[in-house]
Amino acid sequence: MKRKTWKKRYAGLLPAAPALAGFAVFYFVPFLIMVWYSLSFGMGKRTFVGLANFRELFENEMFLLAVRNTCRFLAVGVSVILVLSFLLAWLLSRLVRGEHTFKMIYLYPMVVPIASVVLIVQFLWGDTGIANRVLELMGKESADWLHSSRTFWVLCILYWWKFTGYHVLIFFARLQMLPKEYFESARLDGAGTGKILRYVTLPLMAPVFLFNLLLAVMNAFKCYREAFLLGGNYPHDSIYLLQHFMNNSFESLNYQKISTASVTLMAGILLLVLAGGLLYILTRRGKHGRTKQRKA
Amino acid sequence: MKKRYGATVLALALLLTAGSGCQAEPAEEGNQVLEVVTDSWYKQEVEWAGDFFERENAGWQVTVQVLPREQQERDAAVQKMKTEAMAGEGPDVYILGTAHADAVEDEYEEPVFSSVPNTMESGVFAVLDDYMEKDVYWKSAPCHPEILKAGQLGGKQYVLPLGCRYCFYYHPEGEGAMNGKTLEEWMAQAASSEREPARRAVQDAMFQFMRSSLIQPAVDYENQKSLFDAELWADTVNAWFPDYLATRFEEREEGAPYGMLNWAGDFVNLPSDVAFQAVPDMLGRRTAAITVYGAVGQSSDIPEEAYDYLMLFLDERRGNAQTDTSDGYVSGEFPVQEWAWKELLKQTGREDLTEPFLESFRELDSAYFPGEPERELEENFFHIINYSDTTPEDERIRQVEDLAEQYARTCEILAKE
Repeated sequence: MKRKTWKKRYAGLLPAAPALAGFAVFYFVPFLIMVWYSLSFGMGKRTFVGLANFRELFENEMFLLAVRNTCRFLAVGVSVILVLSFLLAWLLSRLVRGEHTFKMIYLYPMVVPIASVVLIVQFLWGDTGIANRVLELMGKESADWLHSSRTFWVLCILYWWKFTGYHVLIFFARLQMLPKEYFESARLDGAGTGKILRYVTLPLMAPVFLFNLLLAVMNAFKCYREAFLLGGNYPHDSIYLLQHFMNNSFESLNYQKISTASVTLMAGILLLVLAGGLLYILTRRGKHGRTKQRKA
Repeated sequence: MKKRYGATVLALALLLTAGSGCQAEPAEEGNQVLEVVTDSWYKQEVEWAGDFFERENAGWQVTVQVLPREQQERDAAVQKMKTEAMAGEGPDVYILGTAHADAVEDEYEEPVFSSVPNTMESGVFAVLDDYMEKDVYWKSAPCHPEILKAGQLGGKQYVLPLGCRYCFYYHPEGEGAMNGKTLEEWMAQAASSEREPARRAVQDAMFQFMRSSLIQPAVDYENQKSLFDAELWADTVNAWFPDYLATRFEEREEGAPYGMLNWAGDFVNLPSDVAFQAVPDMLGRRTAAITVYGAVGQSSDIPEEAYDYLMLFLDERRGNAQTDTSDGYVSGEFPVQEWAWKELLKQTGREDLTEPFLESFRELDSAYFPGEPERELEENFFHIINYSDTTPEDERIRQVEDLAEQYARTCEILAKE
């Protein structure tokens, strides 16, 4: 009996084995090597240095700046993109006509080649770009959009412009799948659009929000290309991201620095996930407690 | 079936050949191998030194990997080399160039390490102090100490400068000497001078400086500080511009007793009885830009032999007459040692200039490794020069200021990274 249960439980391992082996060889083992690099110094013959690399990293001004900027970019970029794309998806779901056209428009930025983005950036925010023309028309002095603190917002706009449509479509797909009965029932109970949105739509959309949050964070990390296009390897302080730090360290072959930064980043993400998981467990426990109390 | 097998083998062979980039020649069986990686600029001399090393050390073979010049191929080869170095399989010796500021576009080779001091920090290069202590060559301090210092980090020698560039002003002995401390003061003195050739020479210095060392050692890596003064740089460049624009097409008299020198070949046409002065930068430093350097790989299993090979580019005793590296400098570059200067001047038939020239060589008080940021600054600066006829003055001033700010930011990041 026991054997049967064991077989049943682990039956999936065999078909998953190639993927797991690939993961182990190409991700897990390199990760372990990276951890070793973060604790050692040298090339080839490495010497164990304990936490010295970490101490050095946390004293490195550029790393701290990169962490601050990346967090800021994630906080601003991701929160805005989630709200904006949900609102657009919600509006799209209420459209009677033109749904397909909008879907196409939303997806368009994702297929624009990165080289064209440079042209767009210059056209909008270059020295003689539209933004400066508008400022001049308003009687104000033209601004340096690409080498000042404003560059951060240019990067955010590029991120929003590129990925909002993607998230809109995911939200929209889920909105289409929500059971109509809930809305009809809420309407019968006299709920208005606002209340339906708050008490019916949003709770039902919670798992998609989480999914989109993960995707948005991943896409935000991919925005290095855009940041690189705006300022190269040595951009303005406001858009100096973790990837700049790592890329420049790679150029100098400073693998201990890259590895230490990567392990730190990984630890940070792990902590966040753990905190999220804990929060989830606590929320569920509270919910179950309340249900039990109500039943009692 | 056989056909398919054959096609697979062929495809694999092609893939391996393509992936191997510019591979070094294979080693002969039974020989100990010393691997050297170099840029195509230095290929010949590196190979000569290799031949000499093999002749002197029986049972050794020097394999030279020349990094391709073509950008795409170069990127692939450099990436491969870096990955191998990371895995402890890197070359034993690196003989590499820095950003050649004056290289024409199709001859330009992007430096393998965009910031040599940052690379020293990473542990790619071995510390050479132990070998240098044992080596009698260093007892007589033949290298210019300030140039040598550029290859140090935290008091340890990681890199040996093998060639450099700097700017010298020559004038008739006893007249036309510049007394100012900074380039700005030189410019002011030259502007008020009645000697037209002297004025032009200083003006040329500014231009030449853009090609070599105007940018100074802009970063203090030891103390993680940027030394680049953007405002001063922009002001000096903007002050120089009008005069440059007014006189740039005037012909320079050949063999004139005043002038600027930044290439070894210039010695040939110099008049006798001239004196030399190292041109100061904007902060008053007399700086050399290192153009080629050598280092031993940290992952090398034969560091002593690697060091011995590297020293062929500096030590006259090792090279002797059998190799072209015996003259102590890499062709096309300025030497970093006094005796090599003497050799160079002898070869150019101007031994008479040796003493006055060496006096100014001793004036050099700093050196640095130009990298990609410096080249970018230079390239953008020349872009401004090329379009200066059609650019309104205030716009040009703004462009220079923007350029200075941008470079200052780069220096700040390089210093703190």
